[in-house]
Amino acid sequence: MNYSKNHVMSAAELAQFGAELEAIKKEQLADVGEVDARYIRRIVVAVRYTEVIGRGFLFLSFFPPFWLLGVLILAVSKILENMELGHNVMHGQYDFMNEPSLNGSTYEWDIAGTSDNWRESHNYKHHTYTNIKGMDDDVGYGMLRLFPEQRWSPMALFQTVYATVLALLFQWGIAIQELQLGKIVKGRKTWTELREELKPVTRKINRQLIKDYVIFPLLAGPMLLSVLAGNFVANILRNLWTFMIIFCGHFTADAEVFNKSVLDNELPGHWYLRQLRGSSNLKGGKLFHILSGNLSHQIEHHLFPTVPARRYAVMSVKVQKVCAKFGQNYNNDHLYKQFGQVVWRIIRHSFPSSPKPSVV
Amino acid sequence: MQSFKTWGENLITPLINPSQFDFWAQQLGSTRAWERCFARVVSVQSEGRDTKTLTLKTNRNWEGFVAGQHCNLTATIAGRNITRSYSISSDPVDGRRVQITVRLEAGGLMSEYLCRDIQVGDRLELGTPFGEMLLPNPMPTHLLLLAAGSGITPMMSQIRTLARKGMSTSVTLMYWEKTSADFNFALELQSIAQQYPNFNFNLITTRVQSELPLSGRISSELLSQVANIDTVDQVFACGSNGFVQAANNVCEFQKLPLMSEAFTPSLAQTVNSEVAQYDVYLRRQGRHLSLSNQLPLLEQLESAGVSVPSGCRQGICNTCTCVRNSGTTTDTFSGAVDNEPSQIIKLCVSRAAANIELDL
Repeated sequence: MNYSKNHVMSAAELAQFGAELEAIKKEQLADVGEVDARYIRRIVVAVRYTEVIGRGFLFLSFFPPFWLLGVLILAVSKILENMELGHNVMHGQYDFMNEPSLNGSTYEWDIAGTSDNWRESHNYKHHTYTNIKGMDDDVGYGMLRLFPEQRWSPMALFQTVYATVLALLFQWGIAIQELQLGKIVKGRKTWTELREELKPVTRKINRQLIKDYVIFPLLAGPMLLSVLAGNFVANILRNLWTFMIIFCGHFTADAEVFNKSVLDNELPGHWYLRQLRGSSNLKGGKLFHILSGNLSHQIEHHLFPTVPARRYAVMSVKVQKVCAKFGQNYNNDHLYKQFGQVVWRIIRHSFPSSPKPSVV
Repeated sequence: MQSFKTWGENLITPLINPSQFDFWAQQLGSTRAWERCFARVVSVQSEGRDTKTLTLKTNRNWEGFVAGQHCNLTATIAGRNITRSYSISSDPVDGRRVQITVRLEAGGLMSEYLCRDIQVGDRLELGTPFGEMLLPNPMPTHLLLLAAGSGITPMMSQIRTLARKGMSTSVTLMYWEKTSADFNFALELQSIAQQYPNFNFNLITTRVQSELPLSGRISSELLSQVANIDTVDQVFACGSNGFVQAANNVCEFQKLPLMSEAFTPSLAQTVNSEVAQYDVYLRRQGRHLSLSNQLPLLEQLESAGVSVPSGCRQGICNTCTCVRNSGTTTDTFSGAVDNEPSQIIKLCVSRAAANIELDL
């Protein structure tokens, strides 16, 4: 990892750095209101209509091009719902609206994993302890070795294979993440505890499976198999896309991982610094940003998770200025470059590797 | 949908996403909803000065109310759902047609919206009716109603109900407004009084000497001028907090049983303990706040930018409830101290008495 890209800040500089980022947040939050509400309602409309249109085309898939069209539109609908709607709503970005259907603490998204587990593993652990090894379960999702700081085991040799499987089945990976099955293996969790935790998870999984693989195929009558296959492919496409966006957010070449010790006597501003160094952005057009749930602005999302994501693009300009002022690297590049680095990490660290001396 | 829900509920509910159902109903121009109670404004009439009566047609989820009850009303104003409690002024016999009468308050977000901006056809959301000042069964021989300002609204519902049932016992209404231009329902009250000799009413102005025979604030003397106190065996009072306090004093002096409801929240009682700041941790948001023990949590959370649904703001309507994971709070009104873990508390009437963790 290339720590030399960052100027080492004094405690005073760090505090100032944090304060300037805080000011960007305050300025935006003061402006949150009607525009954001209208925006997210439009996203809801887009999600609902694309779902109906996508499923509609699949029902008419006796004409083969309609099948392809249906799959793509349904995949877009699911991506929009998971990323720009579900993920952002669950962060409470739209809680200011007091609208029960967009309430961050009760929203249930169209994906196999339960929202409650996501709120715990993502909103709480991942966002508070971003990229801290042993605290943020998103570091390798408990199965991949992406940083030299993680312990190598012979299993890692095969991780390129199971990373591919994870990418294809990403929603299932997220669904079982919070169950922390590794703890069972290590004997730190009993089967009884697991059975209890499994109840809401299986309920949600059943619901999703019944919807995509029983109800809609049956409704399609003669098109049963074609709808079933279409839903399956749409889910896979959504999985691949979300996997790619999320891995680019934290596992590019310059993204850093931290030890638990960083939390000891953490200075003001350090939390912000950790978010910046653990995250990376993607360059792209407006539609690309929306389809990534604005997680293409992963840095801004991590600095300001409760600010409506549609504001990240504007905030990003200001954040870059602050980073330049304090000599901090702003990790931003095109998808193909960032994802290339992620793929390289997966391959490289499947073999033994050791970290360079850390400055942080 | 109601009848469908009763027999098919268990079968279909797990497969229905209520917010999707509500979305499509709204797209089709209906107020129907899976669980929520929406209503459409069907007429807007002017009453006395600065006062409007809105007639609402609710959807099928409305379970009715009892004359004298209030209800939370939610409107989307500038992208936010704003909730306030209003008394229902119509007779419950009207079923899904419900009337509320709103007086314009300068600077009142909701009252300005309801009195100025709302149009026929607009959609509002209704909560479950609440309130304890209900007509007793059996009825007292002589019921004295004391209403000040908007306090007339729940009593109007009761008077209309009693009139429909033939006004079997004596009812006397004393109704205060600042000036004679402020009175609502005067014509209707007059026609009820003409029809039923059992019903008497007196309009009283508090501020300006007018053509009305009576003026001045509530007092024993005023009461003795209009009603045969000896026969009164039940008093209802509704109005501002100051009015209800005064009514309470008069009734205590006259040894009359009183039931009352006040609109404006009581002034915060002074807490005996010393002024202190406590750490309030919002677990879901991962946010720490330093809050005072002198003010209710709700107020302070709102000024810190935390969006919490709220309604009556005086501990009645149960909208702002939240789980207190740990710590101690005191109840503003009762002064009760509670430290039961995982206790649901009402934020509007709870104050921190130690460091606390809330499930927000």
